[in-house]
Amino acid sequence: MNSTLSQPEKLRYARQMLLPELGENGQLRLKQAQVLIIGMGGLGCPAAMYLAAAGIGSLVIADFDTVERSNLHRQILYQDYQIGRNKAQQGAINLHAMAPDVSYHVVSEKITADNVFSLVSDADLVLDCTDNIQTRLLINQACVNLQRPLISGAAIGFKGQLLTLPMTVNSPCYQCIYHSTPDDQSSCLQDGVMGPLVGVIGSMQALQGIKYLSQIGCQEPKLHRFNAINMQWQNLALTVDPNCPACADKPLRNKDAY
Amino acid sequence: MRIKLNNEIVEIESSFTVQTLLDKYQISETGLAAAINNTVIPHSSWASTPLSEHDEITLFQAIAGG
Repeated sequence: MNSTLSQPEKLRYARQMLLPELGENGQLRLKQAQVLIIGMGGLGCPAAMYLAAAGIGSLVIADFDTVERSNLHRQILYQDYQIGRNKAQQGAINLHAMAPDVSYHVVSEKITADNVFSLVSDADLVLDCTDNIQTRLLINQACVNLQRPLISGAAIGFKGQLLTLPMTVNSPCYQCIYHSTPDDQSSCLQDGVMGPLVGVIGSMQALQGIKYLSQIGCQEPKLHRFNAINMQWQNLALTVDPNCPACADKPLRNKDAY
Repeated sequence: MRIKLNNEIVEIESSFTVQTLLDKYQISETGLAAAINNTVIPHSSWASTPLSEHDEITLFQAIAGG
């Protein structure tokens, strides 16, 4: 029953349904939504936990990787004894223990050009929680082609970025902002990352997602940059690149605008 | 004229665009984004976007970790 909330559901979500911006209508929208989370690492763990706890109807969680001891300072969904297990499979089990009303779908294969389009196509919202630029470009292209909203998080060292891309007509995509991407991308493996920082960014991906799906807000393309040393945020407006390699020739661009 | 480049005041010629600023400071464009007064300027507009007195320019890199 996706059109009503049961009594246990009303009790579980009571404290957020109290918010006039969300209410019962907003909660129902969350229940009717499917969210695709790609990457169940430091960003994906808190994002998935908050989305599951908030009562998203269906979560598709994708990660081909296994839990390693060196992940555990930031990937807070996993237990020490779960080292060696696939993150998507184990993540679904752990999320189900916390929030059993949510329907979980596990993708334990690597995200490639062969599977990304069908996964994105089925989603109402996509969270990019990955750790590499190649997959980020792939996810962006699928969201551009299929016009699916994308909330992209990234963190390294003490720096975080949160990118909200509604992918509506004449709104920018990831490559409108980053026209070229470095080959030797720095990573958590090489450079290190502060655990609570990915927690902040991943939690904010969930927050933006809940606002988007419940139609509270989050309809504007924005980039939020966070410096965890001096605790400063910079909020940036975004504009379309008419020559963007990912979206310039796609229906996302209304040619009449140029 | 004076502008702020990543929060530091710098002196540049009034004819400068985003692109000439990058050239002057020999900043690599790979993975780079540029914003003027908190609005990101797309790469294809860098050469045609003039800078004005007191503009606040932010240059930053794509990050991919998670």
